[in-house]
Amino acid sequence: MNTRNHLLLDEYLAGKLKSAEKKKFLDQLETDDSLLRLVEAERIIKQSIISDKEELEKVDHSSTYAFLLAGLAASAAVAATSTTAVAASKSVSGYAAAKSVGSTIINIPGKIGIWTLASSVIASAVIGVASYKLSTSDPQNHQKVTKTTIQKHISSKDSIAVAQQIPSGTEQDVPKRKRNLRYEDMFHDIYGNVIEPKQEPTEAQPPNK
Amino acid sequence: MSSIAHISSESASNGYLQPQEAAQVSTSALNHAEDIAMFERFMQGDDTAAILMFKKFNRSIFLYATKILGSNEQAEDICQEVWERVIGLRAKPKQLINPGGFLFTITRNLCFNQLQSRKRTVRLDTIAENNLPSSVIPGMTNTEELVLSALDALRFEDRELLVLNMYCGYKYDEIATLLELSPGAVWTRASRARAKLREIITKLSTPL
Repeated sequence: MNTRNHLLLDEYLAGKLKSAEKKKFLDQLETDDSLLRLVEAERIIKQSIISDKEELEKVDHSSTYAFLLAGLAASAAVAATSTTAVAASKSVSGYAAAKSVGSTIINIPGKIGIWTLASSVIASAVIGVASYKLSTSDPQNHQKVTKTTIQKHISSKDSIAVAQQIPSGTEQDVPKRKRNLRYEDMFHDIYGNVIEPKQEPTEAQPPNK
Repeated sequence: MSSIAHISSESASNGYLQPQEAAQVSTSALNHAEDIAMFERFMQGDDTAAILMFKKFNRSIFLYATKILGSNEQAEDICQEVWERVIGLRAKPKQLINPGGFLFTITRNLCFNQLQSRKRTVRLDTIAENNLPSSVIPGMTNTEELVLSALDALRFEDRELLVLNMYCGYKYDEIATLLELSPGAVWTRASRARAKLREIITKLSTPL
């Protein structure tokens, strides 16, 4: 590689050569084949870049542009959401305080702590009220309640005994059959003989006659 | 969102600046003071600033990624990921002294990761395409194909320098700012990279 020729060509292309040096370079170009080849290579490069850039200028960047717009909109939305989240966290600080109290007292984290605390408070209150009632109740009231319960128990036994005395058998079945026939009649009254003709009641005859 | 609608309605077709919007954006590729102000406005929630940043930098990002990765689709994905990361900065605000360089650094890292993942996983159906570049990009001329092959033959660092200079249109001192290198070092590296590229093209274009 003739480095001097390359450097000379670069300086010529960059406009760093003075007029006398330019003339010398052009004179050398007519005689020096290696320099001429380099100039030819440079011409190919320039020609290629110009046509290539023309093609690349036609490339549509609308998808990237749309991507940018979407990204900007999303970032604005995220910023708005974070602002709302800060406000929301401030508003729920009371809840958080309760949560922390529940967690600290019962040593159970989160919502479970709150619910355990609340349920234990309610349960202890209920137990306290019940024990107070038991301690203050008089024996007469307790006797009345017992008697009433026994009487109710006896009366229910009597009703079972009465029910067992009702005769069971064909007499009990007849009304059911009548009710079924009545439904069939009602069906025919409503729909007529569309589905199947209403059969006239006939005398019961044995099938072999 | 009204500010977005104001600009997007005029230039949603291609994502590039319309003439009336061009006045709002500096014609210079890297105007730091303006970029910093724009980026600060974006961080403060101004969506218009984000759109102006997109219109100023997206084309360069895309060209860089396309030429480094050799695929328009992958370059488009990279661009989307870059803007996703930029939007994500709103959650963790930071002050930048070189927003253009920052965007370029993100793009560069993503492209580098993409190239690394390609090395790890080579699909069988891509092997033949690698051997025949003309079948990869239909409609490419022989000259373009030749230069693309020559660019692919260069090292990553040399290739990105030439892409930034030749395709993205950055001057060498601007590239020095982007890459946080001295202008002299960039000029030397770029000169060597161009020399290699010319040599490869000369060899490839010489008939056997």
